[in-house]
Amino acid sequence: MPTTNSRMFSHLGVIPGFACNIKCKHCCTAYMDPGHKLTPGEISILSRTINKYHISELAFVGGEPTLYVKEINAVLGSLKKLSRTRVLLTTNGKFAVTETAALKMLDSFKKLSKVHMSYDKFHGAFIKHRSIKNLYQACLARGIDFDVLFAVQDPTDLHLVQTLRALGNFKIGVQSILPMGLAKKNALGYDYLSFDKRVLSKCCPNKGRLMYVSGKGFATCCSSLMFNGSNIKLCYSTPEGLLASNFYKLASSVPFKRWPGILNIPEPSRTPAQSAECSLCESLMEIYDKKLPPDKKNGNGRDIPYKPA
Amino acid sequence: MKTKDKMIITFFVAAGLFSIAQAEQYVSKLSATEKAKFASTISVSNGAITVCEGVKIDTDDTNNKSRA
Repeated sequence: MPTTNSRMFSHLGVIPGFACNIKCKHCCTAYMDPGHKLTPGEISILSRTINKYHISELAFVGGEPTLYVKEINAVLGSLKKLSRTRVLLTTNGKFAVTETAALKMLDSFKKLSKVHMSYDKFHGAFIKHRSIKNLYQACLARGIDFDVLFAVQDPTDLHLVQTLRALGNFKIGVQSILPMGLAKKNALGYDYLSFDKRVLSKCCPNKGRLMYVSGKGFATCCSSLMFNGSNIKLCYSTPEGLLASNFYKLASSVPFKRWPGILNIPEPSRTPAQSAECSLCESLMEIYDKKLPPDKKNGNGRDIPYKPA
Repeated sequence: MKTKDKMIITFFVAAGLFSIAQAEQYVSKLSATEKAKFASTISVSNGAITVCEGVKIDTDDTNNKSRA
């Protein structure tokens, strides 16, 4: 078991469940089981972890986390230092049909420090512009930070920023769409045009951050490997188990350019999509898994046998 | 390269959507009309756009990351 520093994680992302009230074409978690939600046992594990590691920032994502208010409040209610914990929520904002409805939802949480509203051309098929304005105004009224998270398939999607700017003076966080979940099935991943070799010098972008995935456990991956059904064991019942895993050590400390040598696999073909760390990671692990003899396959959810120096 | 091209390239790189080489490749294929539309969007965005890097969620407004 590795030595754990109680301050080694300051951020914990939590997926309380995968249910959602809209069906976006680019949803990365569409293939996850929407029936499971945080159990009392999981809430207890989360509480212990947050208190032990002095987590200062909790982010609830989904699915649609406003469908899990009871479970989120159970987590928040169990914290020793809630007043010192920033609580973030990423939501599609569907509930904000009026400012009153938005206020009611915000008030239903024991604490919220910041709301990220996901909005882009795909969410736009289900969410009205008025809801963005309502949620923004409600957050202003309650002193809660607000921004819009904007997923981009094509640079021309950015023109929608002009519409968003007319709705309020909030920040807009831009993110290219990764080919995972329905975005992969529907070929909606961002087109990078060419391979960006700078990615080879990078490690997992989630290094130092912890995710808890309802029904699965603690992970560092909350992206392509997780949501495209990798055979690698990614989730552990405790943070310590995760930290002790070979995959975590590889992903968090070894730049991608060294993975083929360490895993004894051929270099992947460098496609434009692999300019994104998560897509490159997924490609490398696919090659690695295919190379393993049948009796060593990770299909049973095994960790990789790589032993870092 | 024209000033408008440089402005659009800088915008794409700052938004985390392209490397400089990729942005140059993209802008070289844009028509004058498309460039003008991007210039308008950049003007309106007026510093409101922040970078979402990878899959992480961050509260720092200068480096905002998420997955939804």
